[in-house]
Amino acid sequence: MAGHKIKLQSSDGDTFDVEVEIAKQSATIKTMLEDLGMDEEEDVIPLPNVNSAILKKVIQWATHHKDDPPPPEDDENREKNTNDISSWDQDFLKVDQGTLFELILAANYLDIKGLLDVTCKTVANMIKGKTPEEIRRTFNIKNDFTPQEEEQIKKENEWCEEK
Amino acid sequence: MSSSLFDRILSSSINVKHRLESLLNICRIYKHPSWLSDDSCDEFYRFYGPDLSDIQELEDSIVSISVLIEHLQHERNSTETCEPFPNYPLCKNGWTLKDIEQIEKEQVLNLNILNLINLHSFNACNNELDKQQCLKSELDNTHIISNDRRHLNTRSLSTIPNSCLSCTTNKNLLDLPIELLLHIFSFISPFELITNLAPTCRYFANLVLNHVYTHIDLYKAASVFDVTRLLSYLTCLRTIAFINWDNEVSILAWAIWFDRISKATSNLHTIRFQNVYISPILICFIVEYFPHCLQSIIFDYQQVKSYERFDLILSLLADKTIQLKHITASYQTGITNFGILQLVNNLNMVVELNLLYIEAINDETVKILCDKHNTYLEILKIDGAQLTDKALEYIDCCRKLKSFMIEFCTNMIGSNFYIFQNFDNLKELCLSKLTNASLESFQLLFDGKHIFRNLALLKLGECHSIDDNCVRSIITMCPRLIDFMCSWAYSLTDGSFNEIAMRCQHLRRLSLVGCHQIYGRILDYVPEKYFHHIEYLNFEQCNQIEDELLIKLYKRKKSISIINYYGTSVDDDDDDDHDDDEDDLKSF
Repeated sequence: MAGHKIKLQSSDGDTFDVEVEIAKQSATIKTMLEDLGMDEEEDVIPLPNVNSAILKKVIQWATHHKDDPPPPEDDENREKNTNDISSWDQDFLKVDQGTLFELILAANYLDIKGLLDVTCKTVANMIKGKTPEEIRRTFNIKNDFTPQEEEQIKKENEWCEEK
Repeated sequence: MSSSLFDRILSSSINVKHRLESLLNICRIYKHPSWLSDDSCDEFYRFYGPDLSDIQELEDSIVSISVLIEHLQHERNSTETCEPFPNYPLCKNGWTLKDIEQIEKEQVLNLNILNLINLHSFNACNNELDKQQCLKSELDNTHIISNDRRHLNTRSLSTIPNSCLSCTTNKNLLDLPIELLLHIFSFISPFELITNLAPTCRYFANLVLNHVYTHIDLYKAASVFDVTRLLSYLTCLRTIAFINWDNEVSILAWAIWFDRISKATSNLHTIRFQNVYISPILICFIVEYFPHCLQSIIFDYQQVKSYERFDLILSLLADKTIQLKHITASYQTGITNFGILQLVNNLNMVVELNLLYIEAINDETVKILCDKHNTYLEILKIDGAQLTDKALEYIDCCRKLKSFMIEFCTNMIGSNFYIFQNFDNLKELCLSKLTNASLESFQLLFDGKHIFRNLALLKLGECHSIDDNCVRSIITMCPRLIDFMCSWAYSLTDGSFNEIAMRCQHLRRLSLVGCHQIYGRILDYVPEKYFHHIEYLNFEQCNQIEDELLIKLYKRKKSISIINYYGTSVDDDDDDDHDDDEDDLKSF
């Protein structure tokens, strides 16, 4: 029933009141509720792997997407598309990289497929179309190849592009 | 001096020798069927098993492998580790003991490996290009998309400095667990991963190599040594194709390659050979190295010179220890019932058997095949005049059949074609060049009672007897046809063609080669009214269909590939005479 709420507790101890239907987008929470029969309003679900800032973002996302149809099953043959991120999600994910990765981890832990996909797609888009050097700069990755090796691969790539 | 790789190769070479010897014994004591009297035509031996030349071939192979074993043992015992192998023909790739030892020591990922994969994936693209000229558009697309992305990225996410916030620990991309990184990578094409992401750092390079490459086409674009190194890194390889290596790879090099693959992965399930010289020893090494994982082996049509004693190849593959289930050896020469029976009798489970253009298999062999494997067999493609209606009777018990094809069975009448109604899962049915199959047989097959619910592909090649009424009942009985071919059915008219157009809604490919009574006026309403999904139309040798009609159709929907009377495809050049002239000049 609408409006029925549960409490979610973040790793730093804050609690958040969330409608059950919204919280149930997390398969992890859904299973907890069903398995443990935790549907009393006093019950608090502890989420030790998610801090308050991230949990707040996750709830914000889940609230916006509460009426979405369930995501389609993964089909291996289907071409994976990264251009279908809604503009709301795009704005929502205009955050620093640290937060983005925390969101990915939280979505994975809470098992929210929609959020996991959209965050991973966002990272994929940050990788796509970039040269190795640009990728390193974007993600602050240290180049641990030797200069000679570098030189080789550059040559090879040029050859590929010319052809 | 010895290395474990070296030891493995030595011991598997000794096993290979034993395999060859035991087959040699079988061939030596093999008695040709007694009813073949001495004066019967030599040609019969083509159907019934090994002769002196096969025995000779096996003896030669045994000599070759013995020489290799001898050299390996000699090398191991000698203190001179860097001395190259003597120049005997089996090791023309020039492996030395030192090289072999070096392979195992090499631990560090080398960027060269990435180059190699680059080269191979690029080669694969190139190959595609030759085939269908699709690369350009594909690259253009990615180019456009990536430009867009770059634009978007710089403005939104990537330029925000890591430090500007707030809540957290400043996690780096590299901190994410592997399964999440792989989920991210799943949204990026393998080609881009290898060219742009893998070279950023060793961690990503390893990740991409170890998890993304489940299939590789190995072209002769790199040296035998480079391939060896490459193979050590492909830990999730499941299918591999060796392409255009001809006779370049020595026996020892094959053994080393297979050893590398089997060390890197235990999941290799498919090997395909295209334009590679096959030899009995090569096959023995496959059986040695991949007994538990290999399920499928494909010998593609060989363009240049093919191996002529394929019976031996099948016999050697037919090992009781191997898990092989899918065998494709169409177009190969020298296959007889002897080799096929070895396969059928020794393999535990035959799911797929493709032996087209062999023209040797007979009813007896089919009986033994079906008796043993009827609960597994799903795909069967065989041909030849040795097959009669009896063969179909035996096949009737293989109720799991999904795809069935017979060709060139001039002795088949088709009196029991109705058996095909017993295969509930039948998706593909090809009955081609059964010149003596009567109209009644086809009427029996499509009898107006049984509906082929799953049949998507139906090919009736050169079944001259088929008439309009028969086509009508085919259309009624096969509601899900996607690909339909009916060639040289002289009596077909527009009556049945119109019906195909109006009632086969799912059809994507249609071939009516040689149906010269069809005018095809209904094509004027394609694709607006009929054939919404059509992709391919073949009207070769259909003299009544006017070129103009096809050109107009092509102009309305350019994605359809249309073959005209002359067997050439209708394209933009057709309305430009000048171009045509040039083409003609070139061909002279």
